[in-house]
Amino acid sequence: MPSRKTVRKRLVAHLAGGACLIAAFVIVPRVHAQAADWKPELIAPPGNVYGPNDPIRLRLPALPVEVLQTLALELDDFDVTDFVSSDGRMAVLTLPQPLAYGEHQLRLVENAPDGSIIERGVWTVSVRKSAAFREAELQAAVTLNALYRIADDDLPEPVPKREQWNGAAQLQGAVADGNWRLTGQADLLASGERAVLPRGEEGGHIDLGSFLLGYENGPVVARAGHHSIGPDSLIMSGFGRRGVSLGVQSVRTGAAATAFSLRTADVIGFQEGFGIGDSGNRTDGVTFTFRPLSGATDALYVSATYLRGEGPSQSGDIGTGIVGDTTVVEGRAASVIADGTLLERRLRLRGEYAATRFDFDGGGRDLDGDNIIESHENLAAERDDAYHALVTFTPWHDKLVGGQPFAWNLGVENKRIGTFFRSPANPIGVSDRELVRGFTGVNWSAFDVQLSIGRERDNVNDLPLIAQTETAQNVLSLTYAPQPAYEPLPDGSLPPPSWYGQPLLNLSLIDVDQDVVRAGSGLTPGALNKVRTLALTASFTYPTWSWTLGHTIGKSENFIGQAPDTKTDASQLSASFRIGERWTLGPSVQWSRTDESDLPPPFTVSARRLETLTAGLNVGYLHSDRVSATLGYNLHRSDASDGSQDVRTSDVIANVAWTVVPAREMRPGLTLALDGQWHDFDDRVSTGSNLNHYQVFLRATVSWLPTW
Amino acid sequence: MQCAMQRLSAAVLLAVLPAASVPAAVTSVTASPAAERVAVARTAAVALRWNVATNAAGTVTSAAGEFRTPGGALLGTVNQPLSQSVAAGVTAIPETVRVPADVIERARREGGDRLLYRRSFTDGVAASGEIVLHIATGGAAAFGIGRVALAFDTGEVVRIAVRGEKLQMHAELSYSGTGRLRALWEVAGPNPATERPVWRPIGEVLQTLTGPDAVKFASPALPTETAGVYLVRLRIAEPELAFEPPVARYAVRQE
Repeated sequence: MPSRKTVRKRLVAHLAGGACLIAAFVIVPRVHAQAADWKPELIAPPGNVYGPNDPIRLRLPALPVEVLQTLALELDDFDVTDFVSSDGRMAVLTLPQPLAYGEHQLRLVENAPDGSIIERGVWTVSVRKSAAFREAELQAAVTLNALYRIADDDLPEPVPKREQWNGAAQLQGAVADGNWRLTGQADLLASGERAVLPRGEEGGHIDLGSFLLGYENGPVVARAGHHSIGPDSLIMSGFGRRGVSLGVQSVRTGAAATAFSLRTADVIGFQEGFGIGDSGNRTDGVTFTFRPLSGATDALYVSATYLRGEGPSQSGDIGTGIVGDTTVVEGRAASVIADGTLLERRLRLRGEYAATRFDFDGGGRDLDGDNIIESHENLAAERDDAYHALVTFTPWHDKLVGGQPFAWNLGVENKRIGTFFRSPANPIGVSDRELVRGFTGVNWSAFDVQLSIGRERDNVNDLPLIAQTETAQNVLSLTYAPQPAYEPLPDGSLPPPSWYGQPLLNLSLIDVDQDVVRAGSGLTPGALNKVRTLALTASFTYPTWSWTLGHTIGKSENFIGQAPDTKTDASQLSASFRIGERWTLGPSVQWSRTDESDLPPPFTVSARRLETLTAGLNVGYLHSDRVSATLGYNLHRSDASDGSQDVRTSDVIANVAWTVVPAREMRPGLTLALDGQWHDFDDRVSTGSNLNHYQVFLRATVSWLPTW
Repeated sequence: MQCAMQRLSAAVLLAVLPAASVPAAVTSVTASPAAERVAVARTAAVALRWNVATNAAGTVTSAAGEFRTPGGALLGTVNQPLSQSVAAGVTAIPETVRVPADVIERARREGGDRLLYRRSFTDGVAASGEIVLHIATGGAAAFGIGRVALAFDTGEVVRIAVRGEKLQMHAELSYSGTGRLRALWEVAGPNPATERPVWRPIGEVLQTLTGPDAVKFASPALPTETAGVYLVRLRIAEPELAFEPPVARYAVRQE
């Protein structure tokens, strides 16, 4: 029975320097191979399949110890000799971490006495899940809560059931072999009360959150589920939807083409499959990206997108968290972007041109209620276009001033978007604007200054009946964030931080002036709005605690009596403390006071003051790895001097949890907990909805983290 | 004499009866404000009050609202009934009406620079009122939120977090005009009541916005100390919304 001993001495440490260390094989063979011609042999694993944790065995011939001292084993160009042990004539590589699925290169080299390196063997080790699949894995993180309400008082009708349950699961899996790889992930929510879930009573007791399936095979990439298609442009931005896409890409040239079909109004839950079954609620398109300058793949990037969509582009289905205009629209859009750098990347030029054809009422609006859309009830589509040009310049790299890096950049952008420019895949896109903006930024030592000056005019030149406004918007931001250099003390420990810890101070000023420059729409030329906002923020971080203080002063004037003039003061303070190893503390306070004047109808007073206070305190206590407790308190007050509102809300959330059995791999865990909630809602103006109640739950939580 | 008395009584009765038996009637309806601005090619939300004058207590109702051109051409309807108990006199009935972009565009193509939103209220006898909606640019339009979208950092609206994980929600608002946004981040849960979730405020948003534009706000850290299912929303108190605020969900799982 051969003995086994881990070799913790390095066989070879510094190939370049020629310094070699010793490997100690316990059994030194008495008959040695010829030093010049020996070859190691890779021993096939059981079943001819290496698993991620399987040791890799090499059979060596009988070698003199002087030769063994010169050997080194490399895996994917990393020296792994430290992890080699001996087993008779076997060198056994046992890595501390599992090897990733796929192919790895193993190399045994000998450092010859003359300094040369002799490659004794090179092998490709394929780490696989099984003979059928290189990779096959499914992970789940499942939690199931069973609750019983053991005490309550004055719960609002209808009183929820005493017995409740809910849960969640995250599923993730992958299968791969050869050049292909199939991946999938999904989130599931479950509840005994369907109304808690995204689709409410329309769904089941278990419903699907987001999911995504992916397939890659060489240059081909396919996806199905919730995803977005890049890059962002004037016609497609923030458009993450359920749907499918298929793309091809070239690693060598960076060129890629992707065809996609996404649901226009997002959807959630076990419904609508991949989201592309309804042609009246779908956006189809194709996007191309390529880098036309060979040899300088990052110098110029060109992207083109065409899409066509139909559906309620401003809203989502129930449970998607998106609400807005539900009108079904129809549109087509195309965009071309060129983005390049010059002068060693110090100059960036970006340009985009886009055109749209948008039908604001899709198939039309039934005005006379006869359930027939007649020709006069269907608006013709509008065509419009937009462009955006951006130039940024960084005068130099690696500039030092006073021994500190000094960075300066400046830029200018020009954007013109037509009045009727709209894309079904850019729900937040704005139209009717012409913008010219210049900006600059300086970063030196601990200081950062950013300045932006912009002028914007409504792009309604062709609509003389509509008033035109011009807006000047200037933004200044000053930041001071020193990075204290803590030199270790002679004993190696770090010195205590200064009384102010590590600070970050910021001042920002926003100044907006809006004027009517052309009459129309019931407006005459002159000042329209003026808004000033000054915000100061200071945060300080220490090893075990931090705090942040902020104050904002705002002033808003409306010169046409459309909205009240306001002066606002708002302060906020938040902190986070770790006290010892067991306690955490997180207080926060937000306070604001707004003075309104020149209130327009229907207000019956000419001025009033609004005050709000929102405060919270979270306390955490970790008794042991298994027992913990939390306590949270929230308070909100809101009142108006004219008596129109006076509301106070108080909440307490408390929880004590005992992990009876921690979840370990395939073994489920069990946690028992006592959860309590108290809520007080006191509306002193409209008392009909006042509440004061509490409830206490006994909860059993089963958690399971299996991996197959 | 008796006959004369009878005739007098009959005359008094005839004089009194019309006043006593007059059916309750809406005598006038006005809108406040009388005029507002809506953005061209954008859906708008307009908050207004209908000042309904009645000559008796009762319930006034309005089955639907209509968008019309100043010339009277129908542009669209709002099939949202309004109903309110009223006392004799003037009662303010609030409404936040959504004006679809295609309705505004239809009015503009009719050659006008305005449209009317009209409602008829009845309590047996009807009267109608209207608000003038001037077509303006997104910058000059009345302040209003057109769209709200909630998402976690990962872009999902349903998220599963580990107990103790730092979690934030983001709200993206599209708006027109200039005005003050006042909103509260609210959380319900763990284990929220289904019919009437108990919302607790955890943070306030107070900012003057200048549009048209879109803006994104991050919530304070969401509670993740207790396992269970939570609801989260940004409840907008000002300006008034023409829709219910959206709700997102997250679950906290035990490690």
